[in-house]
Amino acid sequence: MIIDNFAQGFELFLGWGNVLAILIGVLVGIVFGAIPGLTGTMAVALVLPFTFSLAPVTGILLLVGVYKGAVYGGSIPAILIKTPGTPGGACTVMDGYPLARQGKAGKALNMALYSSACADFISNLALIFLAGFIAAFALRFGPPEFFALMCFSLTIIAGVSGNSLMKGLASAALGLLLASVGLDIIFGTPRFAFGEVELTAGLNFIPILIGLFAMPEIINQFTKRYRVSTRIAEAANQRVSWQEFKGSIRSILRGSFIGVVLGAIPGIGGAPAAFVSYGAAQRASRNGDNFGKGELEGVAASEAGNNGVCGATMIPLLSLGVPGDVITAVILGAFMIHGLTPGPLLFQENIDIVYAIFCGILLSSVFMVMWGKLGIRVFARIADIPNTILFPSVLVLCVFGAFAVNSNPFDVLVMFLVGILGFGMLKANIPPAPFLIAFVLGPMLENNLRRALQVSNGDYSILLRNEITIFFLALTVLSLILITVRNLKRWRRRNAARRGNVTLAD
Amino acid sequence: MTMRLREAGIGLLVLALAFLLLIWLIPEGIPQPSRLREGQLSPRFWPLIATSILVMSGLVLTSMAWFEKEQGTASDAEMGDESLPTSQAIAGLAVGFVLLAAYLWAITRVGMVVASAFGILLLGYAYGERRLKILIPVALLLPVALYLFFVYVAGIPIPDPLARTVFRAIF
Repeated sequence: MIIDNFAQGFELFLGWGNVLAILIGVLVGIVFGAIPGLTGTMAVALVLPFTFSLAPVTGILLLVGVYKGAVYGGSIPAILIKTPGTPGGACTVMDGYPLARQGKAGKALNMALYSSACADFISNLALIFLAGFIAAFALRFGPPEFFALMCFSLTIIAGVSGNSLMKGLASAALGLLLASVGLDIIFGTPRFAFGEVELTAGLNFIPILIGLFAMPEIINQFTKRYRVSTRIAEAANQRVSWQEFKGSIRSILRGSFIGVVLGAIPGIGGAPAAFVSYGAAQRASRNGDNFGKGELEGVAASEAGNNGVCGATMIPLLSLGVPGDVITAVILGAFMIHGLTPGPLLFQENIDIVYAIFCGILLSSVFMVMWGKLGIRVFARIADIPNTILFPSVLVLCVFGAFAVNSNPFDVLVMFLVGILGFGMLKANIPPAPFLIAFVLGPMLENNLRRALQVSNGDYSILLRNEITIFFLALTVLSLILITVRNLKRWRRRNAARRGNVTLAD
Repeated sequence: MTMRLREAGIGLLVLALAFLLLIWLIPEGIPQPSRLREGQLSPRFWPLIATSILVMSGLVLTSMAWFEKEQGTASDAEMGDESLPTSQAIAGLAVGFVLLAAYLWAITRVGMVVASAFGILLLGYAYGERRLKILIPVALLLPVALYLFFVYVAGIPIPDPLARTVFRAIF
């Protein structure tokens, strides 16, 4: 049955127009994703009018190509200039940028490309073969299940807090506070707006992201005298060896699986998937202590989680007609413009179109590798630009990017202010990653907890209503116990080492 | 300043922020619906949780700095970086903040392209770049390239009267 469908779909897919659409789509997506402030949603929305005159399959493949390219493209500036192009790329900063500073930008870019392509391919296979099963599982997620999942996701704060868990927690609390700026979701009352209209709308993710990662480096430049540390030839010719790829393959597969599951649940998106994948890889890896300092496996894990979402967000869209995120909502619009209605009926009435799209989607991973390999030779040269030229250029790019989000200079101001906060955190050795994780996951956690309690009239037992919530809450408790034990052990070891030092000194 | 003092200072700063939130920012910044008593449905519920995390971490950070005899040395130096002496670093930071504030001010007054061109030039010079043959072309070309991309490819209006006049005449 499935083979017949594939044959039918392949027949419809076969043609230069469709191949060209996905080829161009991936390239456009990578370019947009690589520019901070230009999101995948923006790219898909911009390309949408061009699809009106195309055949349905060609038009939808063009949009899907843009989407996939944009998700991968976000990793490029994250690695090279510490400015993630997309929210999902934020996690890649943690190991990608330290690797670039060590002169291994080429390796980091290559690993990001391979893990992105692998995860994308796995996600596409899941879309083709497991759509029905995963969609049924995803539909069971209500506010309590989301809350339990977010609780577990937040435990990775401990993993990215560096030497001081308390500083990590303080950083996360700041992120939670900034995320609560705007209108209250239940009562619609303003929070921390102080009468400012712009604050009532809440703080956008992109200026916060840029301000937190890129701006502190730009400000910190004024306190340092820089030396050029990498060479063009080195960065451009660095390849990921088979041993290095093999060392990360478990994290890539795990991250892809996490991406598929989280991507299929409407409303989660790539950033939480990247962080959950990163946290899981850090816990499981032999090099866990090196995560955050420039570990290739960290780049692989975060990009696998981020890109694993891509195919999976199409699962609820195609099988149920429910868009998984904003981009798939735009793609849903494209389906409708072409007279197609995603959902069970699509599989009955237009099965050839569905399988033609599947054929094109599978090809997108191949084109991602192709454009990525070509692009790395160009992008890797950025690592060799002297900081005295690079940093002012990055600042200008950040200003344009922050402004582009809402065409509002207020976002540029937010970026500068968060940059000053980030610089203070840098000087106080307070890690920025927990801030970012809390800023992304905090609103989801709060909104789902409050919605769940609203449904249950304040009865907390709703949080244990089925095996999904119990599973994730049990994992959370287990993680917290492990974190406490590990920190206690580390504290004892440190004290013992100090006592040893004192004795030696005596 | 010793590491111990510095860590204690960070802890106290976190505590001060938490108290500022409790005393002023939350009561003044988050109006409480009159029919609702304090509880998990209150708009203040989540900010209060975040503040309590701040209080806890501030207390632990301060007490750890107080009771521990010695702290591990923290270094923010990165590969290839060379820190300036403190007085020069402070002067550099002062210059930097003035330049960034001027850039932010100029964006809304003279337009993003012109402000960015001067921004690159002045920031590059402040960072120590003296090769004007490289700096000037970058300062001229990058903002123009970004303007053209954002306006004509991405369709996002970028405020700059001069660039708009020039490029409307060309295209």
